[in-house]
Amino acid sequence: MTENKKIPPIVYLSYAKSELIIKEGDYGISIYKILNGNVRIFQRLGEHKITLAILGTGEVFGEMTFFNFLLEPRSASVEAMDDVELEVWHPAMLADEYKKISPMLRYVLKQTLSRLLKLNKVVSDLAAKRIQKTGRVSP
Amino acid sequence: MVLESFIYGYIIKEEAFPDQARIIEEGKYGDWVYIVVEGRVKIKKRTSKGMLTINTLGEGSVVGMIPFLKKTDRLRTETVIADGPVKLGVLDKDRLEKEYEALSPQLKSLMRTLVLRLDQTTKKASVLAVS
Repeated sequence: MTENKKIPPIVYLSYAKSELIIKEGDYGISIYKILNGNVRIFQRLGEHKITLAILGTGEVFGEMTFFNFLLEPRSASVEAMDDVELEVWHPAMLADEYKKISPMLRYVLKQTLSRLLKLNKVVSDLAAKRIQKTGRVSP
Repeated sequence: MVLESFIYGYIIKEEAFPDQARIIEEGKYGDWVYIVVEGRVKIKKRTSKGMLTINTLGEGSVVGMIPFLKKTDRLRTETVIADGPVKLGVLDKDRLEKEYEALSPQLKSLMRTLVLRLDQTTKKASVLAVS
């Protein structure tokens, strides 16, 4: 009998409103699924927070590190917008599954990710221009 | 550019469009997924100040994935216009759907979230661009 690879178990975490879950620039490997509540994904530009996305129950964040093979620091911060309950996955849980998916879905997934990264950059550049012009992020 | 060989196995038919043809219209129902086989398309979004080009996609780019994975209303989230003569492959969405449904629950939610985030970020970029 072969011994199963040890995959760390799923962990459950709770965060209160405004608590930081992921900090941009840090290194981290966990992937999070929202069981309850909403989070805001943002990048910091000086004192301003540029919102990239708001995610709710059933949605996943922290996955970019997984696709970038864990070499890149976190590309954005994530904070709780209300009381949030999270399921935390270790990337090893996904790695085997990821190897099994069809080349076509993997192709779509990679393309979606690279378009998202490009658009995140567009959003932060546009927001930076807006801040320069008006001193505010929101229109 | 030649597409990777596995992609041809998913193309059920090819459609050619002349320059400036409106291939997909934002707000209309539709869940066909296309791949650009030859040429380029512009991805546009309606804004308060008219149509805004969000991206230009070339050969090998998949178009129309958002409504396919969103599943809620399957309304087109962007307008796609031919940027010069373009040839698109219509992808076998039943096969894609089957493969997607066979994913683990974790990968399924991850893939769906990425596509939804792409939709959200596109909206955000278009609002900021015209504000």
